[in-house]
Formats: sequence, C-alpha cells, structure tokens
Amino acid sequence: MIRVLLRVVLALPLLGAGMGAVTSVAGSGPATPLCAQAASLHHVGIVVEHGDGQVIRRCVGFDTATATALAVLQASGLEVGISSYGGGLGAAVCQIDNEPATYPPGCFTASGSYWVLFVSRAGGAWATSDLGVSSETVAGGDGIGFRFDPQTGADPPPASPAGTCPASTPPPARTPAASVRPTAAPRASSSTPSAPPSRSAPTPPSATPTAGVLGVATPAASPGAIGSLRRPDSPPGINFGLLLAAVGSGGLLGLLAIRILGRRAV
Amino acid sequence: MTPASGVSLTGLTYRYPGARTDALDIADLHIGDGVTLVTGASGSGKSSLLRVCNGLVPHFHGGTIGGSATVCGHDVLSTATRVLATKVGFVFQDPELQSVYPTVERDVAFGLENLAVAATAMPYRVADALERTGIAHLRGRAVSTLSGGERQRLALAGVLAMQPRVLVLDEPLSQLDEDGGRSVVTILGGLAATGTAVIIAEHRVDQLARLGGRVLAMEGGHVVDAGRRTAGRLVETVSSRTPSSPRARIAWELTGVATGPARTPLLEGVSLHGREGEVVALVGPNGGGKTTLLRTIAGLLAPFSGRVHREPGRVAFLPQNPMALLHRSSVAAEVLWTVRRDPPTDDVATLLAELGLADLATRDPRDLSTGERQRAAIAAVLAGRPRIALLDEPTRGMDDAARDALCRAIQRLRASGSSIVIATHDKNLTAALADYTVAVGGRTARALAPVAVA
Amino acid sequence: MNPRALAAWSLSGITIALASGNPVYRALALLCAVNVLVALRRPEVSLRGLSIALVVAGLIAIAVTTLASHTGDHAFLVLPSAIPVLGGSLTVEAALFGASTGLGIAAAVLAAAPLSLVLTPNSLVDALPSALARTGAAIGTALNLIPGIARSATEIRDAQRMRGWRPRRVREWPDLAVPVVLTALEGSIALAEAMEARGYGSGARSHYSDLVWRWADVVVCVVAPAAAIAFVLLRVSGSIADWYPFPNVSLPPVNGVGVACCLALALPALVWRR
Repeated sequence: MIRVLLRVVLALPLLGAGMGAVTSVAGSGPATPLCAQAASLHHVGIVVEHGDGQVIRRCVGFDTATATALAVLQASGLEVGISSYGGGLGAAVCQIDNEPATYPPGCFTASGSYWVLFVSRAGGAWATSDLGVSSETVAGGDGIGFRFDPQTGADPPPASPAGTCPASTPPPARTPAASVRPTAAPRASSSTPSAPPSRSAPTPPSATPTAGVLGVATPAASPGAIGSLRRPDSPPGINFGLLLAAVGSGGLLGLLAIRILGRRAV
Repeated sequence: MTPASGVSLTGLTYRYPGARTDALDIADLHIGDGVTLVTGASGSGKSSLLRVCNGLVPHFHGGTIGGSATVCGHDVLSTATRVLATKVGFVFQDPELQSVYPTVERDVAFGLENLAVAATAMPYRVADALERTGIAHLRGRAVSTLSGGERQRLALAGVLAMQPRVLVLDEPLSQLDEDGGRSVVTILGGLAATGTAVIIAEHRVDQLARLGGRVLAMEGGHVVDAGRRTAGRLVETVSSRTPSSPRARIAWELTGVATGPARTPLLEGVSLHGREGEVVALVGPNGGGKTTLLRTIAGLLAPFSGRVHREPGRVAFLPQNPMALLHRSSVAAEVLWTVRRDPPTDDVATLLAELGLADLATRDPRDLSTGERQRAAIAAVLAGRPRIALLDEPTRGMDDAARDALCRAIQRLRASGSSIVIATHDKNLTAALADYTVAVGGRTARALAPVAVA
Repeated sequence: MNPRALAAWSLSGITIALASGNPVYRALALLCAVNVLVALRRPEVSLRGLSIALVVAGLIAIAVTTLASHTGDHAFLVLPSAIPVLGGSLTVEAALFGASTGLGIAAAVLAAAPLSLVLTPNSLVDALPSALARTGAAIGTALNLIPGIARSATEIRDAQRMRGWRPRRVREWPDLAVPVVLTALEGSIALAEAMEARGYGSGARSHYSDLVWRWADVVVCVVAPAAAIAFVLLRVSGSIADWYPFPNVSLPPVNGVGVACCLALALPALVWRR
C-alpha cells in the first residue's frame, strides 16, 4: 500500500512538469497578443529597425511613473539578448529579435555592429542616448528606438515613433503563461487588425514576423501589442528548451526520490 | 645440491655504516634445499645473514662488505636486488609493513609488475600464489580487513608469485597469535616439501619444531653450530615462582564492565580483580579484547557500564612496541623520568644491573641493538614501585636474554607488591609466571582455573 | 565502475557547472550530480556534512550579493545609506543572482564529490595514467601507512601518559612527537625494504590492469566529455546566454541543446551500479 502511494507521489513531479510544459506550448497559440494591463497608466512606443531596414513597432504599458529603456524593451515581447557588465554598471543590448543571430559573451560582434539607442521625448525628434539602456528612463508618451548599426556611414535615426501607441487603451489580450483570467476581448488574429474604434489608423510597419509557430507571432497587422512590465513573453524556440528542462528536472527529482526512499525502506 | 642453487658464503665480512664491529664474519657456509633454521640472540647477525641472500645487504643498507657471496649462481655483491628478487623471496617480521596495494589481488601482483611480467600472464600467477598460500578465498578483500596471520600469508603469496628458488623469512611468526602462526608454518612445510629452499630466523622455535630441518646457531656474527637438530627442543628458562598470599589486598577490580574501543562494546559483563603481588595472564586471539581490557584497567578507556576500581598509586603500562617510547639521550635518563614522582631510592641502579644494563646506562637507546633496546624499554617503563603493572604482548620478537630480563623484572615487581596483568600468547611465559589466566574473547572475559605450580 | 571514466565525468560536470551563468543549466547539472552521488556512493559515507556545507555556502552567496549589490527594481528592504558598504536597497534581483551563484558553486562541488565519496582513495590513485603508475604505487603505499601511524600514535600517547606525561607545557610535546615521528620513519624504512625486496626500483614496469572497461564505462567516458565540449562551444558562440536579472527579474533564457548537454550528465546514475 505504501509503495503504491509512494509511486503516485513520485509521479506527481513528472506530471506537473509535463502539464506545465504542455500549457506553455498550448498557451502560445498563433498570433497571441501580450499581457495587457488594461488599466496601464502610461505607454511608450518602441521602434526597432533591423540592419536590413525592416521595422517593428510595439507599444508597452506600465504603471510606474518612469521605466528604464531596458525594462520597456524586455516588456515589449520582442526577443532580447543582453550582456551585463556586472556590479551595477548596467547592461548592453546584444540582440533584438534575433539579430544578430549569435553573439559572443562580450556582446560586440566581429563586424563591430551594435544596437544604437534613441530616445524621443513626448513625441519629439529622435536623439541618441548618452546613457545606457538600463540607465535611460522614459515616461508615458516618450518613444524608444533601436537601430542596428552596421557601422557604415552615418547614424540616421529609425522611423518615427508616431502613431505606435494608440491614444486610448487597446483591447486586452490573453497571456501566453498559464495563468490570468480569460479576457472578453477578441484575440488579434494574424491577418486582420482588430483595432478598436478609437484607434487611429496605424501605419503598418514593415515588420518581420518573429519566427516560429509558437509564441508571439505578431506580423505586420497588429501594432497594438501591449506588454506588462511584469510578464515578458518568452520568445519562440526557447520553449522547447524549457519543456526539455522541465521534463528532465522532473525525471531527475523522481529518480532521486526513488533512490532515497528506497534506501530508507530497505 | 647443485652449485647453481642455494646460498654460498666464503670469507664474508660485513659492517653496517657507522658501526664499531662487524655484523657478519663467516668463513664458509653453504645453505641448500630444505628448511634451515637460524637462531641466535639479538645482534648475533641473523638478520644480516638473511639479508645477504637477496642483496639488501649491501645494496639497501650500505656499509662495507668483503669476501664473496653467491646465491643461485648470482654474485650478490655485483647483482642488483631487482635481479636477485627473481630468485630469492623475502618475508619480513611485521605483517602490516609489507603490503603496498589496498586489495589482496593487486598487492600480490605488485612483484610481478616490478619484474615487468606481461599483463596477460599475471592473473594466472596471482591465482596460483593465492592457492598455494591458502588465501584464495580472500581474493577481492581489502588488505586492512585481514588478520595478522592472513596478512603474513598475503606477503608470502606476493613473494611466491615471483616464483623464487629460495624463500627467506625474518622472524615471520613474532607478531602473530597461535592460530596465525600455525597457518603460516603449515604452508612453509608444504613449500619445503616441493623443493624450495626455506631459510627462517626465529626466536619462537617451538612452533617451528615440526618442520624439522637444519639449525644454524649464530653468535657475534659467526656461525657456531651447523648441526642437525633433534626434534622439538624448547628453548625456555622457566623461573621459579612463589605463589602469592591469598589474603593480599585487592589492587584493581572490574564489576560488570562493558567496554570497547569503538561505539559498541567489545566485552560485556566482565567481573575480575587482581591482588597485590599477583600475576594475571590474559590469553586469547588477536582482536578479542585483551588490549581493550588492559586499557580499561589502566583508566585509559572509560567503560560503557559497570565500575572500575583502582587503588591509588602509579600504574605502569608496557605497550606492544615499548622501544618506540625511548627518545631521551640515555637509558638512565629514561628510567629516571619514569620514577621522578616516586620517593627517591637506589632502586634504579639495581634494576639496571638486574637487566644487564649497568654498562649501558649512559648510552643512547637508539644506538643499542634490538635486544638491548627491548631490555632498556622494560627498565624504563617498569622501574620503581608501581601499584599496578600492565603489559601488552611483552615478549614479541624477544630473544632469550630479553625474555629472561623480563621475567626477572616481573618477579621483582611481584615481590614489591605490584599487581601485574600480562596479555600474551606466550604459553611458556604464562606457565612460568601467572597465578591464574583469564580467557578473553567471544565478547567476554572469564577467569580460568589457577595455573598449577610447576 | 571504472575510476578513469568517473574522473572524466567529474571534469565534464565541473566544466558545465562553471561554464555558464545561467541558473537553469546549473540546476540541471546539480540535479544530475546529486543523482549520481546518491546512486553510487559508498554505503558508509554520509552526505549530511556535504549538504549542510553547500547550503551554508549558498546562503552566504545570497547574503553577500544582496548586501553588496544594490541594483534591481524590487527592493524588499532599504538600509540607510550612511552604512559604508551595506547601505542602500536590498533587492530581490540581487538575492536571486546570489542564489544563482550559490547554485553554480554547489553544482561544481557535487560534480567533484564522487571522486572521494564513490571511489576509495587508493582506487583514485589507480586511475592515474600508466606513466604515473610508479608514483601512484608510492602514494598508495603512503596512504596505507597512515592508519598504522595513527594507531601507534594513540598507543604511544597512552603509554607516555601512564608514565606521567601530561600535555601541558610545550616543552613536554617532544615526549609524544619524537616517538611518533621515529615510529613513522622506521615503518617507512621497513616498508621500503619490503618493496625493494620485491623488485621495486628503476627499470621497466608493467601494469596489472584490473581496470576493466565495460560498455557502460566507455559510454560514460565518451558522452560526458562530448556534452561538456558541446556546452562550451554553445557558450562561446552565444547560443547559451548568461542570466542577468537586473534591473528587473526575468526568466532566464533556455536553449534546448544546452539542456540536453546538462541532462547527459545523469548518465552514470542510469548505467552504473554500485
């Protein structure tokens, strides 16, 4: 009897790991918008311009008075890779939306290209930032721009941030993580922009769809992706790793428990 | 005897480095097949003679050597020990200081590795050696778990794996109890019967009596008697003994004692006592608890339960290797240090004279021969008038002179009223001195009937 | 269980544990190492001391990082800035980063632990390459002498105590130290003599190979280092990223291939039996 109970108890971690993995996969269906704080007080628009000219726009909401550019970027739902300098010196952005595809631990590639940070205050013109991405703070109505600079030629700013964020609250959406209440608002599908009536005509940026079936697929049509400061979405490709890690650790813990309890029972 | 086999010494002289006299001075000696027993007091040259056989003298110990020595056709003076090791196997006195590897199998193969024997041939030779010494059942065991007798047989196996023609053993039985000694002697008998020449140096000739063979008596580096021995002569001088008075005061007592060196008791329910002027002998196998019992009586080991009572007064404790204790600059200084808390007497000079150490009193103990050091250690530890004297295997490795000195020291202690307890394998000592014996083993200690006066 | 294969596994485990700053990989490596340790340790050793030591080390890492680094958005406590090093906000991010560091230390230590808790000291000496076989024999011999010396030290101490020796003044310590050292020396010389009598010396030597290579040993010896090398390559090329939770805590990035490399470390627990 006790052995049966033991086996059931030991199977639970495996089950839990499996369920967590499954929901994380299922949750990120096609074209899932990000978590929306429907009552976000402030919004900041992000414009990301790749080296080949493709532009992605995001709108990020937060409740605090100001937020660092890095926080906003991380909340945007884009895939971000950073490298820290340690000791409170801050971090550098090495990779946005999978560009460059790989980067060395020191962040700067052999070609010398890197992501340049621009800030636009209250809808004004772009200005390069003197501070680092983790030190630069923005408030509601500001804009943040990233341009992948191939180090050739001049340093033009990215496309205008205007219109990236709607004037009023965009529709809330369901989270990819396995929590949160289902919302009444319709999901933004991949092809039709489901813009609320109050939204002004958005300029569809020629954004590259972020790769992958899973996770955030927000192709050109949905500019209204809103991120919460607390729950950034996991970019695609990583979910396989997470799944594997969850299953693996569940199995290892189960094995361990079997050995320890088996030794005690003997 | 073919000339190519056996040991031949001609005009051989040898002196250790820094020594004042020659250790060996042999005009002509030939040792052939069969068993050869080499006897003699400490310092007579037994060990040196044995070590010539495989080249340890002179190659390991240095010193000056003259004359000629041939072993199995090789000239010892010019042949390396490594080569001689293929013909001559050597087993030493201490079972614990001969094993190199931690497992039985590996350790037996050590010699084969040194001889660069091919790895494919090794397992067969190892198995063969284990069979011949009767320890094939110990094959995968860890060496540290073996008893003294088993370890000595392991050393023998390690040597036999190298397939020598001559087997030399330097006091192989001195650290063993009776069972262990018997098992080794049985194997030696078998080996001698198959044609290996066996040369043994031993004090404890009683156990080797049944091997028969030739006896070489040595003294001062010379061979004094090379005749054939008649069967079973016991080398013993039994001192006369006066029984103690039955109403003497009890000097120590154990009541319902459970004791052991580790966390669980080795002995339980022990109730014994000893009176003044009485000698108690503890007998039993190694590991049975004799040392534990001695330490409990001495107060070095607290019992788990029961009561230990000792009359006030000094306790003298002679450990298994008393020579290790001597490090002061002279024998007299060691003796004086032991009795420094006692009231001054001229007992010290008498004691030294009794033990034949009067002219060695000012010498450094480390310069003395083994037998002299043993006597010096006995003098140092048993000096004065201790209330209780505890002796742990005192006759290990002792020659006759030292054993006589020990007997005299014990008699003196008894006469002055000490209560004496001796843990020993030596039957002759027990018969000579003990008033009654206690059998220690099987988790208990039982007093046996008193030893009858001879 | 081949000592050399186990040594190769340990090195691989240490490499993976220290190669990345990501707590996911570290945690996986730690779980694998714990599994191997529990499955294969010698029955008489207890893991309690080691576990306690690692927990303490982890707590220290968390405490040090939290108290010294004041970056991070979610502060749970703010100390007055007047205090020299510790003043400032104590943040959740710093605590988590300290925990990740502690995890890395624990994973590396547990990957190395089997070398002493699974193998006996002598079999580890056995695992040395053949060129060092003679050195290994000498070291093994020394290891064998130690219990005997310890025993004789106890005996000498007891005997000297009975003669009235009390370890009070420094001047009295030679009464114990000199006999013990002399006994140890004499024992070593006796053992050297025995070794020489069995032919130990310069010159060619063969090796009694009771080191058996079973298929399980070969598999572990190939897979574990391969996983470690793959992991390092992924790290160098950037596919495996460090985890830097500042200024805001976030989920660490996880790469599937990296996870597979870490899980490969659990192989000895599955294919080897004690």
